[in-house]
Amino acid sequence: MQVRTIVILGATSAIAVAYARRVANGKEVRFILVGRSQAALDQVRRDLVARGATSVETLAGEIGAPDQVTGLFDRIEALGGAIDQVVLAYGVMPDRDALSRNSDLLVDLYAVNLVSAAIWAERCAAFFVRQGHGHLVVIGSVAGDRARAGIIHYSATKSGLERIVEGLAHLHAAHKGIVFTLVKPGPVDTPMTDHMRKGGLLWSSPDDIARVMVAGIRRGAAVIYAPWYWRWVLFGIRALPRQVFNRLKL
Amino acid sequence: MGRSYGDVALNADNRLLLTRRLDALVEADWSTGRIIAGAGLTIGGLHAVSLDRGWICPVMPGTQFASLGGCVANDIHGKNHRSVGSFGAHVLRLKLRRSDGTAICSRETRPDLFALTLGGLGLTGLIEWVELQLAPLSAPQLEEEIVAFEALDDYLALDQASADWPYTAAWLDCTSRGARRGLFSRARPAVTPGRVSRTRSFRLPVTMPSWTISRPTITAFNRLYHFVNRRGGTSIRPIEAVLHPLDALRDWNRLFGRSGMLQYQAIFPQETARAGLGRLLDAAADAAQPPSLAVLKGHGDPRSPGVLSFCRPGFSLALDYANRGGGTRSLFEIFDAIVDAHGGRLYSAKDGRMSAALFQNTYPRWRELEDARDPAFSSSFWRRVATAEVA
Repeated sequence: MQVRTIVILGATSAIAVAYARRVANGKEVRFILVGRSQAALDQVRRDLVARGATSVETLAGEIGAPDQVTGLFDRIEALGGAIDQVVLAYGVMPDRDALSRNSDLLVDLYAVNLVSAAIWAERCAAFFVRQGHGHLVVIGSVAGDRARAGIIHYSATKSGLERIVEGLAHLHAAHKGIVFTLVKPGPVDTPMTDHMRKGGLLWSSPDDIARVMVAGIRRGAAVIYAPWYWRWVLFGIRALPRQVFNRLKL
Repeated sequence: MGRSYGDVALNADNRLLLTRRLDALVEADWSTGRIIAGAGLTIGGLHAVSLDRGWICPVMPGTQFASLGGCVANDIHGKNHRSVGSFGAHVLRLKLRRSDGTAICSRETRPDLFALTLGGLGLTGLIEWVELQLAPLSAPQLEEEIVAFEALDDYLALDQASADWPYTAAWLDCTSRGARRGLFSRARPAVTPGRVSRTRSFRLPVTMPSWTISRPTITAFNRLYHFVNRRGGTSIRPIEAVLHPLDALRDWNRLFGRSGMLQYQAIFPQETARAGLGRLLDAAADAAQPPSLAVLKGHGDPRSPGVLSFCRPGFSLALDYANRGGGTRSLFEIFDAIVDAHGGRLYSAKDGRMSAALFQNTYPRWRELEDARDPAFSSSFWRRVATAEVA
């Protein structure tokens, strides 16, 4: 069997690690892990090698800085070989109060979650066209479906990601070998959400998300809600009239 | 993982250090079965990778949701204690993060620190990773035989006669006085793969009211369970189903309601086991509150260098009780006197109320752990049993 190559952007994020572990176990996969901290990347590399990954390469750089993306993509290409799948898994969720006070933080949030992601997505799509195939998986959020008080700008960036994935899928719809997938997890217990109160039925583990991702990505789904019930919860939330929604404390 | 029964992992306001995210493999040599894994990796998480490659954790507790770090800190045992010893017997090296830096220890390097960390209740520093020798998996299924017995002596005889069965344990019905009926379970790797009995796990979605576990329900359950299994018999079952019975009902602790459960687990040395177990079971049968579950296990040489390890050759009895406050506590104090008089001791991993005197008498080398303890680490358990002065 041919070895698949998967590039993970934000490879040390909890959901990315859980996904890579599931993919590594027992299949022929070459990983290219991209992230900010070489030490953290090395830790994930060792873990994936021990779990059976065919090979794991790492590349450290400022993945969320829009002016760094092109250079990083060139370095990934320079590693050689095909790229069958790119998973864009990084993102930040700053505290709401800090965002309302500090506009520099707002600029950073949009740069990391949206602007840099747009550039990655464009570069990947162009590469897939040249290569003749490829699968871009972007991790969005159920928060992108409707904005709410606590996470306004996070919602906006995740909603923007959905439009980018949707538009690229439209542009390349005629090309059967090129697939775009948006994953929308509900609340997940990861370091990104450690400032929030957790517990209760709504929270999932990174591995819960990874399990749903593996199945959906294999199918080539356009949108994956993870876990599945969020599709129907959000269907309901989007359908709420504004007068009702605005009275809810969410 | 946050799943300990007692307060060995807790501090004021029930705070604890969760290591769930320290779950990465650092190294794995699948030709020899030697692995280095983060302390937060669970037995189940390890098996998800290792079983397909022919390796199994040599010592497993009743749940697969125990972390490797927790297995080290409590030097845990499984149903196969006689044949393989406790967890520490299979640990090759440990990396500790202490407030004064990191330390790697083994039987050769800093052996004192190594021996005090095995069963050291996490007090010698944060266990970062564990190097472990896995056991080759001879068969993915176990042949399990259930034998009903009617008296403690019958159990002891059955246990004697089961040298060919590496996994043994017994369930006891403690609701009836006099007779000590129970079910002895013994298991060994299945030589011929048979038709596997189906096993499913369920999750208890809500916390039940506290009367869920009360004398009528316990009695009814015990009678039913014994009746269904009274003829015994042999079956072929997946390893997980035999060895992790607690996982068949996920979140089973919710059965006990908001006040929760307490487990009393004591071990008696070989010489006094018969008398000690008999007295303890009499006391349990005389009490107003029956245990919801009683499990007997035989123990051999622990083979672990752990200084404060629980296991020793003999027999252990674990009694689960719904927490009924003062009543349950005074019952446990009656038990304490029996355990102490018979040279037994309690399992710190399951304890939340042992007195300093009992701990210090039964774990006479406790001062060595206090000396090796990282000053930045403590627990409610340790402050209770080790800081109080005992006359």
